[in-house]
Amino acid sequence: MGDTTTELSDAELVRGLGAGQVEAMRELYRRYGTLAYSLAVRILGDPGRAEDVVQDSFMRVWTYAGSFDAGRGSLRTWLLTTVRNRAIDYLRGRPGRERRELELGFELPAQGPGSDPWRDVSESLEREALRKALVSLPSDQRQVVELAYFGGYTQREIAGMVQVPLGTVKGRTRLALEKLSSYLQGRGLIDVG
Amino acid sequence: MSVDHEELENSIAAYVLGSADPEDEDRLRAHLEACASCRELAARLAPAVSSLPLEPEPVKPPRRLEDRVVAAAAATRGASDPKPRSIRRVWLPGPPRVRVRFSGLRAGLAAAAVLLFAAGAVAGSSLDRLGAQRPAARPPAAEVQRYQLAGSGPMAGVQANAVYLKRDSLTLVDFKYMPAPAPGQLYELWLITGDGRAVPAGVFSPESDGSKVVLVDRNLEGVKTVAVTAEPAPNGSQAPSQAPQLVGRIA
Ligand SMILES: [Zn+2]
Repeated sequence: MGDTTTELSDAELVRGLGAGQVEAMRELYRRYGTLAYSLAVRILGDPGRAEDVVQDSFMRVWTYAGSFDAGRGSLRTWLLTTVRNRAIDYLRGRPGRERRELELGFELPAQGPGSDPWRDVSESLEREALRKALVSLPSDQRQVVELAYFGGYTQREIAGMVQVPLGTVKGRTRLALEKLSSYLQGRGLIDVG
Repeated sequence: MSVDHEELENSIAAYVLGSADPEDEDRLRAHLEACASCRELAARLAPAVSSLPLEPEPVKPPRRLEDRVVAAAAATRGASDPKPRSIRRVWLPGPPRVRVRFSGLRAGLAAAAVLLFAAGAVAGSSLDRLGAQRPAARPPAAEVQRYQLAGSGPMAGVQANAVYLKRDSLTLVDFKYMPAPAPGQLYELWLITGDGRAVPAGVFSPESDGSKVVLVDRNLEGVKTVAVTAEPAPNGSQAPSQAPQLVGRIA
């Protein structure tokens, strides 16, 4: 590990984590630590709590690396989904219910291995496209995504807050995700098969 | 498509976004199992949701966070069985320690657990095993103090959250990611007073996953600092034999 030019694939990294190699954990952190922390800060607005959430999320991946199935989603998605859900649980004072991060495996395997610069570039392209896609949504749809994903509100809660029927909130959610998907897919940034 | 199925599809979208209402989740999961077109829908929408974590402006984490993460991993590596057998554990109080009284424990313990949950301070932590229910009512804030202990070196990854219930004179310290003590040693908790006296407050060894909940059943009047050292098993020491590895100031 370390200064190799080709970096480890998710599957190789997961094997290292599953074998209890601390260096694999360091590599995982170096890849995704900033993304994870930025997400936690965005949701919590509290850097101290964000640190705890990030640590807990990495430890979850460390502990359950053996059950990770690379065929069902990327390591990045698993980790960041865990960060998001833990942050929301913290934020809302919910006991950590047994989330099914591993079971939300609808995603196809992410892009293959590449060098660090490649990842940085692809990440910033993805970020830029995502932001454009979000801005292009009608504001009521963007609001639902914001409240649901970053605020952790359920559909019923959003319906109550925004004072529209539940069915309307669900419809907006669906439309928003359909539009985001086709926007990102149209730019080749996500792979849907 | 029927109206009912369209409603289901929209609900599936909410589920993929992590926004389904809990009472709907079982129904939606069951439907996903049974309905290929909704599985396809979920698979189509999921990558967009996976991109959402990239929306926030990147914030560089403090350098210590890498140390915490790596130290926490290293701390659990020595566990005899690093892979947990189950996620939840049943917490059973052990035999009372010499210096930790357990009288009146049940009520205070339940109250402390409820409080921790109420604030979300340790959501998802080892306190799950206390089986606390959602809070009915919280005591006034003045009755409760919270503090955290910070570690260094091999203890850099330790999370230690404490809640002091003044009225019950009970402190509950929830440790996570503790390294296993060296052979022949265990950990000892100290209450350090304003004049520098270290009062022993109990000895403990973490579980194999590095977690432990320690109860201190006494008044913290005059105590300024809570600290942890490694001491000889099985009884610990009467005075700390090393510099503290974990320290928390009481506000
Ligand atoms: Zn269906």
